[in-house]
Amino acid sequence: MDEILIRTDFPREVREIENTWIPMPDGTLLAARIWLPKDAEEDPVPAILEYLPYRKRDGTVERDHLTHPYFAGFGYAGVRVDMRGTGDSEGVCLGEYLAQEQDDCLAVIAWLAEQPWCSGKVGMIGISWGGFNGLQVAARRPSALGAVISLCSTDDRYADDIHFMGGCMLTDKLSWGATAFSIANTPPDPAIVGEGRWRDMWLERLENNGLWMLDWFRHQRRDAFYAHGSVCEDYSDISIPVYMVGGWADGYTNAILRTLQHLPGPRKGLIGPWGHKYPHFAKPGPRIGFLQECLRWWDQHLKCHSTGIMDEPELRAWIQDPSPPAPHHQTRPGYWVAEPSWRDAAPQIWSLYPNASGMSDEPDPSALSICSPETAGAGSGVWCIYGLDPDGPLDQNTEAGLMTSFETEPLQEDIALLGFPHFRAEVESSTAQANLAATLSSLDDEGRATLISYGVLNLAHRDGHSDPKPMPHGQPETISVQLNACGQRISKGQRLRLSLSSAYWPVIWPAQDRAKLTLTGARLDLPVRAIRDSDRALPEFPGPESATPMATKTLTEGSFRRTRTIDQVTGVETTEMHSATGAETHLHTGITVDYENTATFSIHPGDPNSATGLQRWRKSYARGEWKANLRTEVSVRALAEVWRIEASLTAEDKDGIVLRRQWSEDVARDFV
Amino acid sequence: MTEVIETVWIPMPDGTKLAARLWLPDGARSNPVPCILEYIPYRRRDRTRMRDEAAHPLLADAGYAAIRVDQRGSGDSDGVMLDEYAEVETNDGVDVIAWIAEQSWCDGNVGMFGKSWGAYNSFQVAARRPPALKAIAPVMGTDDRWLEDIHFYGGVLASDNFWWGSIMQLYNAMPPDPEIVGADRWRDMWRERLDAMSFWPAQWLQHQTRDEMWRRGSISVNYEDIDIPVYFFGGWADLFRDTPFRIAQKLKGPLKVLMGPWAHLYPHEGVPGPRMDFLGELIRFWDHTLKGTDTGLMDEPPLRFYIQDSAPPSGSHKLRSGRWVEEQSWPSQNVSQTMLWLNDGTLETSPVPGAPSMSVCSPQTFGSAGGDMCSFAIPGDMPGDCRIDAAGALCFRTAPYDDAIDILGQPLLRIRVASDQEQAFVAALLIDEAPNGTQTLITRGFANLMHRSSETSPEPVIPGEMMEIDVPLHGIGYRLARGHRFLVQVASAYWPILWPAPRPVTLTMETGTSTLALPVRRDVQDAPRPLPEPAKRPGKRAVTKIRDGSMDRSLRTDLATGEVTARFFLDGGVFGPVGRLRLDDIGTELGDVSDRIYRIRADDPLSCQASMHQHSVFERQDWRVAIKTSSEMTATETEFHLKASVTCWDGEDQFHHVDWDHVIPRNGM
Repeated sequence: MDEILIRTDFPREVREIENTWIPMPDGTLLAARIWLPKDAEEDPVPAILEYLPYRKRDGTVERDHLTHPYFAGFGYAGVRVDMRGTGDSEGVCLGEYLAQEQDDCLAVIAWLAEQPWCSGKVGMIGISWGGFNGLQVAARRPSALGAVISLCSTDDRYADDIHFMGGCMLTDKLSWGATAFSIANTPPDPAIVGEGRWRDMWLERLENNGLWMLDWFRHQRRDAFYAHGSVCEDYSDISIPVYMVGGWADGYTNAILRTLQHLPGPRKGLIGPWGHKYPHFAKPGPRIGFLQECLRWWDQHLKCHSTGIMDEPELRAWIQDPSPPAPHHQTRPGYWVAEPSWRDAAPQIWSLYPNASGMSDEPDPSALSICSPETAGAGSGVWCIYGLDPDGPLDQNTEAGLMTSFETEPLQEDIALLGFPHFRAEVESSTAQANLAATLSSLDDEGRATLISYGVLNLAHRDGHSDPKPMPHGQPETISVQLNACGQRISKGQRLRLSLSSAYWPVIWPAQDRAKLTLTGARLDLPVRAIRDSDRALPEFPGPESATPMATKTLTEGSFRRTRTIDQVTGVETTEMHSATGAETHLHTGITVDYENTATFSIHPGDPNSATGLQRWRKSYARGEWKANLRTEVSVRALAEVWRIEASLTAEDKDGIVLRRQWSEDVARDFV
Repeated sequence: MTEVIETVWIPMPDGTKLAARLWLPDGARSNPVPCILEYIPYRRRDRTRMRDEAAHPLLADAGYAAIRVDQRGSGDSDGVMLDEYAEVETNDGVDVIAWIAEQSWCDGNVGMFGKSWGAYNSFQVAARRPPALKAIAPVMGTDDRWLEDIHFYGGVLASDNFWWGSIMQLYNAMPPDPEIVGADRWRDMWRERLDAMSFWPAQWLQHQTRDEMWRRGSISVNYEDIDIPVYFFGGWADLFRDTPFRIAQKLKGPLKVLMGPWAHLYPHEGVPGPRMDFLGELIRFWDHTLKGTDTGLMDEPPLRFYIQDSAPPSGSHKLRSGRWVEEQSWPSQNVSQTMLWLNDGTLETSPVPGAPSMSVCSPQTFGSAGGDMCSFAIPGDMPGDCRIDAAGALCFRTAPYDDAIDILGQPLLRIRVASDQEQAFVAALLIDEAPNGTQTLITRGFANLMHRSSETSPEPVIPGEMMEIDVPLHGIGYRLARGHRFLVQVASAYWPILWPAPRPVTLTMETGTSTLALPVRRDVQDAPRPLPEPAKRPGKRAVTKIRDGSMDRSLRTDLATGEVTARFFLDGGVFGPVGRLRLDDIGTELGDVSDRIYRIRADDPLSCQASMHQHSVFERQDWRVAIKTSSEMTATETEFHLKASVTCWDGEDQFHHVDWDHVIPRNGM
């Protein structure tokens, strides 16, 4: 079922424009690769734009080949544009989701609409960055933009992005920040921009693109920096149809349910079991015929064909069956359910109350005391699972000595959860700023514990993220921790376990000081969805299809390793993730790419100020005589008063060093 | 002025000569003195040279001849050594004592002491009653090789059987020093030793029950064999924690016991501290027993124990706060057994029957926080925070104690338990849980369920049958702080300290029928004599550091496969990361590197693998010797597999190579 059917027979014959230049109003040229029907000039087609900084030439090329020629074969122009200052485009790129990026995109859309092969209608599709800017550009209402498919993206850059979760700072701010840093400082391809120009363009980037992460650390509360590009600021800015897509293993799925709740215009949502990937090649499976689903969406909104897609339920979601814990799932068995309207779905809330001996339906007056080692979170997976590597959550029994756990008796019957669990309590903290983590897992009859969902809250952000307030000493405060949205069946006989801790490492950075939390009136609210007959009548998705994958030659094998090491001499625990793509030649361009990445996070269980993260990247590009290498190193230390950020970059070509740069900055901690 | 004789030769009746280093006090040649013997295989010429020089000269200063003898087949002595505590070793010990007593500088009275091996053979030789031997001071050794040696813990196979045996694999391959035995002889002597070598871990594993091999050299077989005065020294961080309590009850002659907080080190170098003036105390003992001087020592309460306070878990305690207490006899009237019942997750003073039974199938990685059974006070080798392993055991907690409580002695866990497998063991931990949740191991014990009726004929468990099993926990003196709890953990695995049972074991325990007998010491007004710290000894360090040492002691979990790797790497040999040294007075450079790696996956006991790689060099001018060893142990459901090799170089030339490959049937282990 997960085998992708490679389609070579299309209604319209496809041609490819390897590169074309799209002029911006200031004269800067953006590079674009376009697949379109050969006869598009005679029979113009809508354009489907994917616009992001991840290098059309060699970065997203593998998936572009699966997707855009497929759209073209069905009568669309699939357009991949490198953002300003990235890939083969000119200029510099100073950060993520800046106004410049959206302004450029408006110009790109206007340009596309005017092309002789274009019908004048444009759609935007994208995952992650390209999903974000689909929403952001839709909010700017360019007249030619007719519909958006936004995958694994967010409407709220503070709530659900790599920066924060519940007002706690994610370590992804470093790991993604360092990854973006390495992407932003790669060179254009001489074959596209010219042998005489590429090095100058690269230098311009190296000298100007900078370390975006510094801005991210300078903004720790929900201020205008994050409000910009967050379409939740005014959902009514968007009037065109939006299709929000993602998966439970991904980091952005909360945004799908929230957007369906609030978007006033036409909207659809689709949540599978997937990680941070397009659903026609995502893992965990099952995959679906996502491109076919896209075509139904585009045909409906860009070609005005009635495909019936808007008559179908607003939300399709995969309810995962119980499954043993594993850091990597090939597939997550389950079943599809549908909601005609998410905002009217109103799940039944099942409240559970932790007590001294477990968790039951009865409220309990006991006070719970939480003071976790800083290593609590040892069973966590990465915040955003890509589905490629074994980097997901482990058997939650790993947390047994670290988090404080409460278990129900075995369930008397099957239940299914769909939506956001919430943990609520009155909390007293020994420190002004403290974090609280809550995880929900299910235990099978062998005692194995599979993570269902988790959430964290910075207690100083209990009343909002814009204006943090210290926890008052000795006075309980009402708090609510939203756990990530989930779709999960729990079988009769299984137990549910709630685990609480004052740390969740290495998902979030620790609080400034060790906190002791005292909780009373604790309650876990679970969104229970009754099983409905209508679910069984849902039509199956077609199987996954794609255009012909690009041809590559593997020169060296890739590798992946994720380890946790306790130094028994110092007590320091280090989680290290190392991945290497191996060297691979793209046969259609002759470019050989080779990337290597190591992320190291260390902490002492008794010392939050010992937290250190270090991320290294190596990116190598070569073709014949041409060689470009980039090495970056970025580290963050969570000291009591400051975030200590250090970074370095070394760019080399065949003749040696092109540029070396270093950064070092202490940023004061702001209630985070 | 003490006369130091680098080498004296002690002839054995069969003509074999043993090499010894001798410290003679001023005037001993005209005025004979008693002699103190230390008799071990760890090379007086180089490997223990510095340690010897910290002890033996002080004995000489106190008016004793002090002699450090290399056992037959070790160091510079002739012959071969075929096993630990062999009959010939004990015979030689008796003969050495007879020889000493006849020397003109000896007044005919001999005392014997030693740590570890030297404690074992002090007991063993004393049991042979050589007439000149008047007293022994065993430090950190045992009366019972089955119960309390590195081979088996609670009748369960210890990984230390492999580890220590691999260390001996290296020691056994070391050559004599040409400067001592002669440039013309050393190669022949070395060749003889190498040709006689076997791989001891495999040799020992041929004996998986309490058979004659383990009875040999165990004075527990007949305590009456020893009636001379014995002064036993030990430490709670060391392996040998029950011997003091057993001998206090069994030995009929005069006995002194002193148990400190120490790891496997002489108490004057003891870590965790506080250290004590061990040599001063030893001299008081010799003065009393060998010179007949009344030092008052034997009028003092014979048993002295350190009660250590609650402390946060640490693999590297430098100091354990606590206090010394004294007892007149053992069992002590100050200590009474408090029964705690293992109820439904709780540990209470009365049984609460009726709760459903509790089961656990411990992951094979349970025990990873356990450190080593025998700490050498090398950083990281003591137990860490038990929370690391928290999920793998059944847990029973007391309420927090309103007042501090002292325990002294050997807690006994008596549990009603069933196993779903024929071969299984129980690992039980007694833990101090602090209010902030940290868990410090107090003591632990193990029981092989196949030995429930006999240690000589293992008998398969009948799956599902409830058994009453005693799990004795090792002796300890501990004060649980106010507000802390006792926590008992019961598990079916304890890696890497114990070799796993062949299949994952689910243990099922009845609740409300199992008990922990806790030896609670009443609050007595203790006013023990102060124990002086060792005096600082003047003098220069006679070693030069050639290369700094390094170490790694870590637990690594592969989060993708679940495999856990416990690594213990030491550049500097068994006793610490000292790197490469030159012994200045003899000019020999020494460098020992060892890398011990244990691996296992949580779900598969047969994934258990132990390996040890060692490298050792000796260099002095044109004498250059290198030795490389490797050893590996794995198991199937029915067999143990041990492979090992030794390669030796004489200069650039390979001098010797041997491979061993042993397959040994499992017998209840």
